[in-house]
Amino acid sequence: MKKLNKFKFLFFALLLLAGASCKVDKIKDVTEPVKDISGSWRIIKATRNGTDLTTVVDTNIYSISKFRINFSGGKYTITNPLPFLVTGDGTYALDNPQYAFTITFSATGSTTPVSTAFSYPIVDGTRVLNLVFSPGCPQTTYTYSLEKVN
Amino acid sequence: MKSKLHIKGSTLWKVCALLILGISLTCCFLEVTNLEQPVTATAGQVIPITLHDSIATNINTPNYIVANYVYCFLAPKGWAAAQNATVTYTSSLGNGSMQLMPSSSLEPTSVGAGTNLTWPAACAAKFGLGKNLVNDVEWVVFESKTQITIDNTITLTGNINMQLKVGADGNNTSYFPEYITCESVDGLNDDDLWDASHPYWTRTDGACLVQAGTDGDLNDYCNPQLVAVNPPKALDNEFITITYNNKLITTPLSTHSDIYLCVDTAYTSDGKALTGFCVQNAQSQLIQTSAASGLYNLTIWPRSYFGITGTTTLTELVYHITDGQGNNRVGYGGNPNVAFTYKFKCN
Repeated sequence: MKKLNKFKFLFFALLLLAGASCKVDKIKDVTEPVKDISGSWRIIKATRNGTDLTTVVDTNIYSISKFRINFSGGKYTITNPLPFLVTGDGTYALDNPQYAFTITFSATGSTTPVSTAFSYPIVDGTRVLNLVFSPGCPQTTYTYSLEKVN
Repeated sequence: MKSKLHIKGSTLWKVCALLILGISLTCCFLEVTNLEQPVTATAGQVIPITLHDSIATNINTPNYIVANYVYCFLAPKGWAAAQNATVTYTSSLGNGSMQLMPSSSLEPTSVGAGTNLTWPAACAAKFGLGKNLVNDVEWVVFESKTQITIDNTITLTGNINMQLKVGADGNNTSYFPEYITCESVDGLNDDDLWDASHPYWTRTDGACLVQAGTDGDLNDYCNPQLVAVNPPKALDNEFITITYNNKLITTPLSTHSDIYLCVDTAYTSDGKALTGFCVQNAQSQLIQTSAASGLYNLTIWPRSYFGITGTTTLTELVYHITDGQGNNRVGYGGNPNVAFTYKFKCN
């Protein structure tokens, strides 16, 4: 009987301890950050239908490593161009500044804006901008993964 | 209280293994007993292809399945087989027609693996290009319009009959067809525990099918080529990779390792014939893919390479492969007097 009382005491003591240890945490509202892509970007990986082209295109007239796209104030400029969604500089827009799924490029002088899926994951601690497009035949798909130039 | 249940560890494992085995043995041992496929065809012709199947079943828990017959066919992209093929089946469980697999249907093994692939994507991931040498083929997947109840321990026979109109793109194409058959419940599952040497699907390699009868390009995906261009169909505003096989046949370049692209003429949409691009420099040099491979690659962006601007486009390249001095030239079939050609088009 004494043994049972001991267990009872221990049980209630633990219950009291457990209750005292609880407190309600207030969860702060998490706001999705605005997708700020302003700055200069370079290609870190380029594929054609899944085949890696990153290191095989490197001449003194066009080079994957030298391509740059700069986003600033709704405008973009391209230096050392490559096959891309658009030819020439122009404006760009995200479909939603926080929850962006599409990016649209409008080259200056062109009446046809070009849109593609917008993917902006963090890879190895760094934001990567993935663009998928077909600059030529629709059955051939290119993926450029871009990283901001520091 | 002491338990009255006594199970030795080893016995427990055996019971569990048997239970798992019993649950896992689901369906079928499929076999294609015969393939009827022509090896020549003319563009526009509707060719018949028939696969004769035999399916033995061993189904547990429950002792039947309800499934669709599934038929995967590898075809040249230019044939648009999804639009140009009709497929029917006859079987000891009834006859019917087949329809294109809906793009929303996922292959069940990939669902189990978490990759969630559509049927054509699952076929491409598992069987690739088949025996073809050029990535200009696609998997087209059909399923029976109605589901079939397949009972346990039966052997059913069936025929898949396809009527295929060939040569939709206006080119002459040679390629290796591939045929996969399975049922929709087990899909492309490899693990047939009933008979480990047979997965739940069958694969049948077709003989090289040579389609002629047009004045278009020759697309030969069956035989190694001296020069292959990837993608085989492209426009000027994308990268094209030119691969020269210096080991395929003996040519004046066989003893050389300095290999260059020599474009004799580049034709444009505004009627110009550009010349001056048969030069041997860093931009035109093909680099060997690995030591002693004999395969030399050059990837170019044609618009930039030939200085094309505005709305003008390139329509065709006429070219040779040369050594570093440009003295030794190789053309189509190894003949220096017949140039290689590449037309910029998507079909």
